[in-house]
Amino acid sequence: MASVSFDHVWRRFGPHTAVADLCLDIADGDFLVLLGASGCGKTTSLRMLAGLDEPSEGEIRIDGRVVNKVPPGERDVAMVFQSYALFPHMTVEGNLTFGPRMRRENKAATRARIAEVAQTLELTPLLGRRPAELSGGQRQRVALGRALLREPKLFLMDEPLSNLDAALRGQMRAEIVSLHRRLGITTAYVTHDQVEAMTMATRIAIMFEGRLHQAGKPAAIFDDPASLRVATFIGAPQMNIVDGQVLQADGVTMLACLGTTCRPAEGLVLRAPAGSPVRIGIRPGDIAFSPPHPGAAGFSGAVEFLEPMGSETFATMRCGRETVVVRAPGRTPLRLGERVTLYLDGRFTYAFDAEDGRALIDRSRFGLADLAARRLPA
Amino acid sequence: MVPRKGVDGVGLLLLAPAGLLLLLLFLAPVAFAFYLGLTNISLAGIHAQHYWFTGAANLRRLSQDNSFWHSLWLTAVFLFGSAVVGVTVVGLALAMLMQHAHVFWQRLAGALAILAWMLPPVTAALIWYAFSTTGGTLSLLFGGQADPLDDHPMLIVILANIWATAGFSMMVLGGGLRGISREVLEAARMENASRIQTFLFVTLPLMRRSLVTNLLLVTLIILANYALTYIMTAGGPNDATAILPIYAYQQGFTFSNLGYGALIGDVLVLIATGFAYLYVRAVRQG
Repeated sequence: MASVSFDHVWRRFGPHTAVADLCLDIADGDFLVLLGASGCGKTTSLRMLAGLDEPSEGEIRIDGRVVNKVPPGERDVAMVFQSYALFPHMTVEGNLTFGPRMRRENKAATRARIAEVAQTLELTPLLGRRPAELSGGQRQRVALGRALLREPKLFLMDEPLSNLDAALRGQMRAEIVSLHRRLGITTAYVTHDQVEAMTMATRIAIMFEGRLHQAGKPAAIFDDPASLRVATFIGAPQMNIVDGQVLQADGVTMLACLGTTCRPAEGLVLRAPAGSPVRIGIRPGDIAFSPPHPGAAGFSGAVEFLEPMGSETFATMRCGRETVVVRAPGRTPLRLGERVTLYLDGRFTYAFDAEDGRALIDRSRFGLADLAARRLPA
Repeated sequence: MVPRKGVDGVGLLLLAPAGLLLLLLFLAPVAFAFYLGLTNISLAGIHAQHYWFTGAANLRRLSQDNSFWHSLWLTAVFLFGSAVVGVTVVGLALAMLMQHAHVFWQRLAGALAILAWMLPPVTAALIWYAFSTTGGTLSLLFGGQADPLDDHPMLIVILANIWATAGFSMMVLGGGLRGISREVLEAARMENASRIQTFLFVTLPLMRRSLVTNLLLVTLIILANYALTYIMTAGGPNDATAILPIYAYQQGFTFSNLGYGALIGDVLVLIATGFAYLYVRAVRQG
């Protein structure tokens, strides 16, 4: 059980800055996912937390205690590595007992713990095997077991599922989440896979080029991205981004794009002056084929491309100069070349600064469930 | 494609030139040397031209030759000192130090080590002779009157061999060290293993194959590089460094007993073959 705090942490490698001014808190019991493309500094941040790397500047605290100089073994943290990092010359049992042996823990107690952990992770029949004789999923379990055995106050995982095939990944995702629920151990988990982030995290921290861009609950990141980059990084297919403008008519602020206008939901404040050019974002699932309210203005698009995924179809629509991807039902009646009328939903139409990409609509005052339920302006 | 088993005419034909050369230039001379080892051929005198097969006479002489058994013992000491203790330990230490060094120093040290290995034995021998004899640097360190080469000839000769071969060892073992995943070493750190524990329980076991391969290779190299020792001491003083290759040379070319010298050489061939066999087996495993 532990809380973690990164306090203005920097990590530089020569002229290259891997992590810049990272301020991030992980609350006790959280499952924090550090999300970002490769090279964004997420792994470096995790390694600093593990003690395998040291900040160039700033402080890292575990339970309030500064650990910058504390060696990894003394932080009471356990790490699962991307490559699993099992000791190839030892059996599964040898791998599990290695830590307790190094820590000179009571042998009988260790045996009991190993039996228990092996039981939990279904490793019991594999105890006598070497890593080379195990499948990817089994190795993953051994790595998890080694971490579990330690009963750490902090779990660190560095892309632990990236070497598994898709089916196994789904299964391990569920197992890790249920393990976290059961044990409640604070976890920091690094991945570049947004599906893992969305499904596993209690909180997500998104990093780009060494900087933390946004941290929050998965739903909050998805529904209220702080910037254009976060908005387009989370969600598949990507959020559509089109050029637009802020309009003001009769004291009502509206967003104009794709040859139509829409009004942000009541209570949402648009932080941009009238007439200013903005980038407008709409998720493929937030474009409707029928008017969200009577008299809503729509826009016209021609079906350019269809990607049937089975349970849903992603249709690429040409709308004048712009192209947007729209989510349609799996058994869609849409045909290539067909012209249809589409509608925007004022609750989930996003506006970003044309220059720096920061979000222009303040949604934070609303709970998200609340937001979805809000009545649309007439 | 699945390789076919069994003999195949075209394959044999293609192998024939290489096989013929091996037979002519390698197997035949070795076989001839084994034959010579059982004759009374000498470098000069009546038996130089007219020599004949003497059966087990040379073997009987060998078994009763105290100098030979002494030389065999010296060879064991020499190989153990230079290959096992010296090159393996020094090579591993160098390789581990190099791992943590800046790339520039790694390259420089690597180049220098290779250079020491590539130096002709004559050059290396002269350097070490000058270094360790009276008036040399080593001698000056001990007051200038000492003659370390004369006082501790075996030790100096072993050191010279280590100096000349450790670089090679460092390259081989460095390759082995690079083969150990960084994450595995970090996992050991996360599990509270100290540096020494990590070395003993993780690095060393994972280096086992590299170490064995390197040890056998280095043994063969050092055994073949007897010129370094010969030029420094010619087996002396008082046969203190008369390892088998030198003893064979002395018997054949100093005392003119070519047949007997050849027999000692044959013993050496058998020893080297033993090491070579172990080497091939070690490489084949896993």
